[in-house]
Amino acid sequence: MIKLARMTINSETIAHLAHLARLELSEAEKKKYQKDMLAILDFVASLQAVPTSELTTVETEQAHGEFRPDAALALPVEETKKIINLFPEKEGNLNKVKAVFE
Amino acid sequence: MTISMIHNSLIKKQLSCQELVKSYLDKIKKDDDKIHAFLEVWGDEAMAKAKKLDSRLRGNDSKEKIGLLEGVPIALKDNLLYKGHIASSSSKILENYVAPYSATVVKKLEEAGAIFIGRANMDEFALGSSTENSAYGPTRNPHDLERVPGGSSGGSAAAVAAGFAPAALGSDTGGSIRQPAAFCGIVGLKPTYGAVSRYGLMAMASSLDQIGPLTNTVEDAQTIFEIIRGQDEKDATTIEIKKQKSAIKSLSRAKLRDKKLKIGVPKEYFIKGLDPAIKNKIDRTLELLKKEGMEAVEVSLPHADLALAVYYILMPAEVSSNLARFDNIRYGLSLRDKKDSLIETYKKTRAAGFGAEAKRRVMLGTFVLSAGYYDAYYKKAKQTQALIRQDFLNVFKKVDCLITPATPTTAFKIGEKTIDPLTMYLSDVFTASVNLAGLPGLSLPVGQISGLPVGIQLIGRSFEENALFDLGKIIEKFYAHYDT
Repeated sequence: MIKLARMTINSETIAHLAHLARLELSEAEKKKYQKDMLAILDFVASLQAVPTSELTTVETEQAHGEFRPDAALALPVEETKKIINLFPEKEGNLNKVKAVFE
Repeated sequence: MTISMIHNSLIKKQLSCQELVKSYLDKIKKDDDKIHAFLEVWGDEAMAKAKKLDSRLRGNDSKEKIGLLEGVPIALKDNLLYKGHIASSSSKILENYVAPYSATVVKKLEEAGAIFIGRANMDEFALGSSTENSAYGPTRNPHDLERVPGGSSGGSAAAVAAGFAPAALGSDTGGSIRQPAAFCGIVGLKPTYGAVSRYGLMAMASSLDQIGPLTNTVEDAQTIFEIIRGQDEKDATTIEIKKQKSAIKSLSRAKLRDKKLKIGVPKEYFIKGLDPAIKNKIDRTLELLKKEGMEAVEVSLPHADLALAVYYILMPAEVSSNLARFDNIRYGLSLRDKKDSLIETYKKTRAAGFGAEAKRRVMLGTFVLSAGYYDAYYKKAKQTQALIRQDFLNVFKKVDCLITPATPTTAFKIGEKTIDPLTMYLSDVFTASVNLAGLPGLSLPVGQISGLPVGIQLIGRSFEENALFDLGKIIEKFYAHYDT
């Protein structure tokens, strides 16, 4: 797997990951992150040798809280106003964004 | 001053709250330009709150009960939302973000009468172990200004160590409270996962994050923990106190009282890279505890050496998900050119708003979650996490508490570990496994080495923070009486 990683963490992979992560990277940044990722993946390579199986699950001693009823809760108007004020661009109370589909 | 000292001074009227708060604000004014613990100090607001409390105290004649935390100044890590105040996670992408609501822990402390004195510097989005990744400049260690205070809660730790506040809140995902507490010579608690609500904490790795106190004494950490803990309907991962308490009633605390507490020393933690002087501190502490009638035995956590690798796969994966929300749409930095498509606005904003470490971890997280690599990395790491958890469960059948170093070295110099990210990641070697197992960890100071603070770490069973506090107080008392 590690050989696989080394073979495939090339500049194309980095460009692809940057796109998935919605990051615009400079050429220098791409080179740096490629180098860093190879080093980090080398470091975590030790995990490959650990014997695990599908049955190795995380045992949690904890119970979980109950879910609240599936109903819409109204926020206080004042809090809503604060949230709307944070929109980078707005029209009235609506959040204005670029078209998702061209 | 400790919290109880402040409380007593206020109710005995030896000190007014305004005098108290002013003394902290003066200290900040005098020393913080050198240390840079705070990104913002809320001086006027703090004094106004102090004035209100003083009116109540004046008209009181000790008739009304004044809470322990009333009038106590507290610093908040910059990733905690405090309504009406900027919270930026030390990032440019949230430089002007004003919190529309308060975190549950902030609300609880506010109701208890605490006075928030300012927001403390941190590594951007809690990604780091030195506070050098802050978009607003590093914080310096009050014990040596050329050195880091640790991270990511470096500002919080430095604020307490420098006397800018008696207490601070931090967050800990892989060691971010315990490691800076150790570097700065103070107490830091990472509670059991589920003990404290994460509502209003900007998430880093949601399955690992916990909020906790940084204080001068173990008692102060306990005071704050008891106020902030508890189930919260807004955080489904929190556990009811009743269920937490049933664990506390068990084993460890009773054994401590009967002097039958068994302490485990995990042999895998005493690795080559550990400073021998730190090992000496641990040995000395164990000698003391043996004198108190406790038994110390060597134990084994066989998968301990894999913890950091597991952490640096699982954590970036969660980080890449959690940081996806910073996309110029609902809040934060927004770079929109007329000609840009929607996706281009995401890419440009995030490129400009995130620092290098944030980008690195998002890239790494995206990789380990992507098709073709998910099984080999993320799934494998999740399975190995189960083995690490099982190691702790097994060990806690034989012993009640573990003692380990908190850090492999004392505070390193600013700039020393910034070139190669891996050398920085190794700072978490003793702390990250505790987050992976969801257990409580307490870091407390045990003197100094060459003028720099050293901390040790106590690890307990889930929800047995009280046992850690009890044991911590014994150790603290010992080191208060002896030469460092």
